[in-house]
Amino acid sequence: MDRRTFLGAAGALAVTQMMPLAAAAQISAAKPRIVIAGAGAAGLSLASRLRRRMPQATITILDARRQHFFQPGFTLVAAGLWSPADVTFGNAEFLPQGVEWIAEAAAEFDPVANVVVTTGSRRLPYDFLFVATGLFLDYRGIEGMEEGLIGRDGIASIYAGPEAAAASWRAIEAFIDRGGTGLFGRPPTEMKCAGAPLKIAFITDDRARRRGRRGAVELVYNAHREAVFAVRPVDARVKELFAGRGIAINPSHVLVAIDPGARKAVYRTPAGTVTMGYDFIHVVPPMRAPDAVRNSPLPWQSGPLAADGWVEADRATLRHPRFPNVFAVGDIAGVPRGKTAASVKWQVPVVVENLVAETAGREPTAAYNGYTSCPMVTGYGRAMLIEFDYAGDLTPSFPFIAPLDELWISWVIEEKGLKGAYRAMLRGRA
Amino acid sequence: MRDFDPVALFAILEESLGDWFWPLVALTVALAVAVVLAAVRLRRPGRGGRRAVAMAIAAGAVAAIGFFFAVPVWTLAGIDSLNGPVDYLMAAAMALVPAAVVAALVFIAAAARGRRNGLAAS
Repeated sequence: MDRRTFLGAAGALAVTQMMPLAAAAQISAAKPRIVIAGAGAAGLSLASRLRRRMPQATITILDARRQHFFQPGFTLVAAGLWSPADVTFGNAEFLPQGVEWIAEAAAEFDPVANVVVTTGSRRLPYDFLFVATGLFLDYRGIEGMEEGLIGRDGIASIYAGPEAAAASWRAIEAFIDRGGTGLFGRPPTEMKCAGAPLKIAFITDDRARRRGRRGAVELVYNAHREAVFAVRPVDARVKELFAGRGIAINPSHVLVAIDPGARKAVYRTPAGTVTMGYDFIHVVPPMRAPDAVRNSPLPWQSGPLAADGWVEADRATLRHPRFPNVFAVGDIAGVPRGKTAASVKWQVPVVVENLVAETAGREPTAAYNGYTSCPMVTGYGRAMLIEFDYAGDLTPSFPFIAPLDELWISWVIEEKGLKGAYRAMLRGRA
Repeated sequence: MRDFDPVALFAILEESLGDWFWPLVALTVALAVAVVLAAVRLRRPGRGGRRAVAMAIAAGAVAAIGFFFAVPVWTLAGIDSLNGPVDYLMAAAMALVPAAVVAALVFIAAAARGRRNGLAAS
């Protein structure tokens, strides 16, 4: 092959590679009023993509928060490797031009009248609504627990924010200093990043070993049911690793109450309530839909996702079956498994593609398969890159990375790769 | 993680490097241009082209070995975190990036020296 032929072939290959992008870049000239409730990962990513693909639409995004947290990084803050500043951005940095930001939360959803009412009593009529409010961390759903206790009396919880994650790191260090019993677990509700409770157990174990204090601490994982992870091969692998590291597992233990003064935790089990003393506990709160969503007609009316108010949505299109101009994206969506940033990465292009197609007079055909990803940190410097779908099948992206192997390269993706990918996703570029 | 196209990968790299991205791109381009210019000069006989290439390869190899051990530290891990062939290969591949910079700098320096020597001899 001479140089000219080679360059021609390379150019053709490049064009071929770009073709799916060209197809995906079709725009809609429609002028609907679009309201996005929530400026989290899903909301900002939606705003960026919709602005580009529907340039004549009127897009309004609602969120009272000005800070944006890179939540996948909370684990690394709690590991003492990152600071809260490493996971804190400004929402304004990611809002595309031409999108109106109202710094108020959604207070009421009226999908019959196609109106959202804000906490400032503004009425926002819409043609299409994207519910991306995120979820509510119900710490008070555990009797005796509240967010203010994090970092005190041996209580850690990485979910409440960057400062709580940093306080959790200090609690882990203090626990390893003193020794004693450490309790871990997760709630029985749907939850975001279901791998995080396991990661914290692994990190505490590894940190204690590195400090030569593993013999001074007893680590117990109280699983809410028989499995510690919903995907069967991952569950088996984590149990194998826990056994190898001396982390005990108590199945079917749901944390229902806590007495911080006495350092006792009460669990609901099939055999009745069980009280366990602790020197350290990582509390993962029950997670539910925010009140504005729960008090609206949007949640599931029956079935396993109804009790906590998750928005009813078709699992493939994320479209509301009763209110077809409403979509639920991110943590609030009442679909199995989809409560990670990786899920958002896949959900947003689907709903945007379908809305663009529909408003441009084409058939919407994009579908979300439930893809999600969890870089399961199993110690400092190692992780398992676990990806799976609705069916619970492992769906590895990289053929050279075995999902159930503890690898440094999977750690590299967690420590170096995810934040850039997340920020690019917020801008609708990845 | 899946289905990242070249444009998305570019965006991710840009976001990952932040303010460093465009200066690093400029530096890479400048380095590449300097290497090409040096290679052109060294093509002339008596300028020590082979010696410059050999020095660059040697320096790059030594740097690659050093960076192989440094790369895990850059990821807030240790060399003991490498846990299988794919880890060793990826660490080596990542070490090649700064090693290539070292090799390029040595090559450029050797070319400049060869040019001075060539001018002095002529």
